[in-house]
Amino acid sequence: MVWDWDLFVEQLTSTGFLEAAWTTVWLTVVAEGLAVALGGVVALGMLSTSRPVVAISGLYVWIWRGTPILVQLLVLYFGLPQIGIRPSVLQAALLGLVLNEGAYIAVLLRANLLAVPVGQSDAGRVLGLRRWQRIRLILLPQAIRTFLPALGNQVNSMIKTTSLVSVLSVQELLAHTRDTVSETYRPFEAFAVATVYYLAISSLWNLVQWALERRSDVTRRGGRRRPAVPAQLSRIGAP
Amino acid sequence: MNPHPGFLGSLTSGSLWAAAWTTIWLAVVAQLLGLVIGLVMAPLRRSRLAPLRWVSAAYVWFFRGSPELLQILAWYSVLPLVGVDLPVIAVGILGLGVNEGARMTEIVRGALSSVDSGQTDAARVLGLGPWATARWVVLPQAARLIIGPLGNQMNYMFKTTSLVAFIGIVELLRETQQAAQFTNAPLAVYLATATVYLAITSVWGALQRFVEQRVAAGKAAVGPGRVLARRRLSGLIEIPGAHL
Repeated sequence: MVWDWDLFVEQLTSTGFLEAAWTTVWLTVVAEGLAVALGGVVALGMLSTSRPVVAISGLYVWIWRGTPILVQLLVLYFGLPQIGIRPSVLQAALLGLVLNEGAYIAVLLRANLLAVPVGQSDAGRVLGLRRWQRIRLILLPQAIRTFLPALGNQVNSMIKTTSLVSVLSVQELLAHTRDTVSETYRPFEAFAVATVYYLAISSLWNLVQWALERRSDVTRRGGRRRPAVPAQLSRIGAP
Repeated sequence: MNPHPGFLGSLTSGSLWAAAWTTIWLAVVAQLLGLVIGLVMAPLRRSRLAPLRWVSAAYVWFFRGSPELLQILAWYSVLPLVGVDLPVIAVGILGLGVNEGARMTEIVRGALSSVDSGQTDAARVLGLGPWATARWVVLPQAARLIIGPLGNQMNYMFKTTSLVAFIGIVELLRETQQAAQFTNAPLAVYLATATVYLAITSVWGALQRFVEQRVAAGKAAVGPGRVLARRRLSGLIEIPGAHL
């Protein structure tokens, strides 16, 4: 009982593992997408002029980055019913992933917003842009460009983080693997199959990330020309 | 068992703090293992022998490409099958440390490649061998770049140790699960645990900022260590004309 190739191939091509891998993929995409939205709001909150907003955003980031996601998932799972909310396991899992990842995204986005040279914001002010216009038209477009590589890495770790929702028995790759092991009593093959799937997913994502970063790299961009100034901006200050 | 230990009751229980201590030392030992692996694997990536470079690259790709929890569970169930019977705490440290080693390899590699190649050239011109160059010229400069990320990794590790609850090591999370099992109000127990984790990571964060400020100010580099380093280094180098 060391290694059974037939079992390995059978499990590798089984619909059970394929469906579980698909769950891992869509959980990753949905959770990361929602987390970017949440993180964006919190990042702006951390840079807000209102002190309570800054304090609340900071508190959220401090708590969610300072505790393990497993504990957060279990608090949500056990805690929400205690205050009268009964989410499905999938809802609790998604909520847990999004709240956790949102805190990390907020810190990354904030750093990228702060890294835009001060002169950019000053120039916007001189042109008569309001605070919100400066953020939307000047700071965000530049910050997002430098934020993309970091986001790619976050997606890569999210692929693996989704494995933790198996603790709430969401049927993603790891939960399915553990079920398979307890059915067959053959951990070697099942873990190998799961590893192959995870490596395939994250290696594929690495390729996508590489291609995306190449495209968004301003220093390499050739061919298709873009207007130097966005349309909204070019109207401002026109005589 | 008390059906309602409550938040404060849980927070002040001795077993919770015993478990917190397990979490702390487990994290430190696993992080040290990761650091040692990183310090070995990163230079391999720059080796002149292609197979050594492949080993290092494959190691990083493999262990960064799958979830840590999966790796821990796999070590736990596969090791006995191949005849290796380790105590469960060792399996936990191995699982955490080997995974961390892959991340540390990338960090050390980044730091090594940030040290200007002119530094190596200069050391070689002065007659230092490859080992002396690494020990006295490249590593001290790379170490400054490693300290920051290493501190962050340590902070992650405090939280990541919660994964070994799955293989039955009684650290903070496992202790909490056991305590929560018999209450009908588990939320308070989990919140107490979250507070302990938050305390650990916050204290570490404060410590880390303190160390980083000292390193940034160059204070860590002054003192007996540096004087000694200079003296030993000057013994290694033959400076032409210095005897005149």
